[in-house]
Amino acid sequence: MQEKRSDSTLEIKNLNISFIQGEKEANALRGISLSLKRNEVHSLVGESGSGKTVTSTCIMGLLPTPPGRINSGQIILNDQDLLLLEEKDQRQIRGKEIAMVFQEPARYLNPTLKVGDQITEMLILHLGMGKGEALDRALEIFDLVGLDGGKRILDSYPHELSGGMKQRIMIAIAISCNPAFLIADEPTTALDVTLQLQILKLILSLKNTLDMGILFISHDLRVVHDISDWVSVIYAGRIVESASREKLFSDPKHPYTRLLLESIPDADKRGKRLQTIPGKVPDAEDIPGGCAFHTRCPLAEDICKTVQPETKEVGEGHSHTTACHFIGKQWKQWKN
Amino acid sequence: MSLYWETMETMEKLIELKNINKVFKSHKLISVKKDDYVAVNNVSLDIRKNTIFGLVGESGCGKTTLARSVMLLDPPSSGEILFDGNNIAKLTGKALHPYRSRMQIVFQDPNSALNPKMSIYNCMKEGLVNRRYPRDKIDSKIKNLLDLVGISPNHVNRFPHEFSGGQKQRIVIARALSMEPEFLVLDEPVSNLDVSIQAQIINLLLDLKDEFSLTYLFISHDLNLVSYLSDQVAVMYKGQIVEIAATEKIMKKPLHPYTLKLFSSAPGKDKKELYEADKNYTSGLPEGYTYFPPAIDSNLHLLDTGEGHSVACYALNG
Repeated sequence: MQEKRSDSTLEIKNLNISFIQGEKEANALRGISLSLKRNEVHSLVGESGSGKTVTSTCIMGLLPTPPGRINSGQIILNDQDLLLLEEKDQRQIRGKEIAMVFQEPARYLNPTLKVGDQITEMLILHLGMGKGEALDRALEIFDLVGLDGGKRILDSYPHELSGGMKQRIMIAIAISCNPAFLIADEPTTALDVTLQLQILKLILSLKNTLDMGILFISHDLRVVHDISDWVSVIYAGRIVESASREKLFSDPKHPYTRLLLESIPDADKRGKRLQTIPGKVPDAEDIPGGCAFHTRCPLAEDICKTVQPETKEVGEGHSHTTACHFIGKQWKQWKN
Repeated sequence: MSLYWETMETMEKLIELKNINKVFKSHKLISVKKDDYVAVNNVSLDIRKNTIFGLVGESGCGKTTLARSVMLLDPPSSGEILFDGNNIAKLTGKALHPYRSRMQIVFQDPNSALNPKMSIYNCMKEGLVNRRYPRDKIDSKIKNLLDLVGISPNHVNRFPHEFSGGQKQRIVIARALSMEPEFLVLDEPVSNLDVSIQAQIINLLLDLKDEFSLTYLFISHDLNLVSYLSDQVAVMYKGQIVEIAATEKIMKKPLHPYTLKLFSSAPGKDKKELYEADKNYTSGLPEGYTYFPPAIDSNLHLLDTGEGHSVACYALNG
């Protein structure tokens, strides 16, 4: 299983989270296990509503409870379970040990504060720097994330900057305290392709220079293909497949992963119909019993409706796990 | 000459744009800026019947403005739009009416394209009534259309919020089709949708194109998608078209440095080949040549390099 992979330092074990709304209970995460090693990019891929962002907010300790409720699970960093910590102690870890980059930089920067104030806030709080020292450090970080025009940027408000610059500032703020782990929640979704490539390159180079472990959350399999070392596919709050990048893209085992990969439009598929997955991702309130994917799966048989498949090892040396009753089985031409 | 281009060239043109400009005037009274903003600069292109024309470029390059100009939602400041041979650029009011229903647009965000206070039925009825469609046939028409795009006709009295994003986009497509258009502008129709839903909508669009012999202007920033769908691709940069070619040609051998940069930025491609091309390309450039013109230059025209592959570039224009 995943935990056997050596020297992993951020472990998420069997995390189960639900949201309570009146009488209703929405099962957002149904037993997620992930492990994050330093100097590795671990991607979490899934469609909207599959539980990607709940995972990341929970790791950061930003999950609002209520309505959220953590039913079970552990998040272990340096032999500490983050979920058991007091708010005060959590704050010591948030930003310093684990930092986060959000999807829309425009929404997460304070429009009324200068960039300089926002980036020094964490340095002063976590590292106990003075204002002047913090500003100097901020300039160093700007160099690191490829923002030139240092002083001028410190003195600007977010609206004066372009989308790409704002995302670089978000990254600068995230790495300012030299965190061991970075959670990047769709950091490039709002950006154009050319900018996207720049930001992805930046994240990779920072991973190497700062020896960070990165949890990269995305819905775009092509971006994931470019950046990851390890990929986990999430569907309706469960990891359905987890493998090294090479394995996952060359030999996907779970029907959901296989269909997803085939549904990507590409020049090579010109003139052919795209593979589609009928239906849509189930609501967290109403997840089908058994294997959650059985309603959309071409391989589904009676057993899938009742028995939830165990996560099984399919590769050699703990390199590939998947949860399916019919691993590797071929399907006949699936109607679109 | 490739077989593809030969067949392409003989196909009838549905839309011809000639030197389209769209200038947004600055308000002289209040604004400090005196400069007008040129959003679309001297764009000429032909869209042939029953083909898909892909328009790519980064956000802010003028893709959507061009599309809105073609639809006469924001009429162009100058230039000609030939629809089936008739210049419609200067038409207004009644004269434009017959053309309105022949071209329709599907917007990026179905949430803002559907009125939240109108049921799907009313939403679709509005256009048909305006078109003077026989009243007694409206019901069956709407049901047929919804059935066609994969929405159960029983849901006809539901409101937009009762549908998912993919379903809403299907409804918007059905509404556009209710006008029985020949030409459909698709402005990033799938970029707000999930991967598995995207494929459903794209297949639907391809089926509809074959069934009703539609012509698409497909706007997107997703190069993989455009290269999958389109017959021809135009690359737009700062309001200008910098390169137009048949999809196979532009994918195989992009000529403009900006196209090259755009294509090599697309994720999930084996980039080796493109980087190689990049290298070869730069080596042939004159000394001191910067990557691509930093500002738009209206003197720079598209130059045909053969087989409908045109490019606007200093280095190639000589």
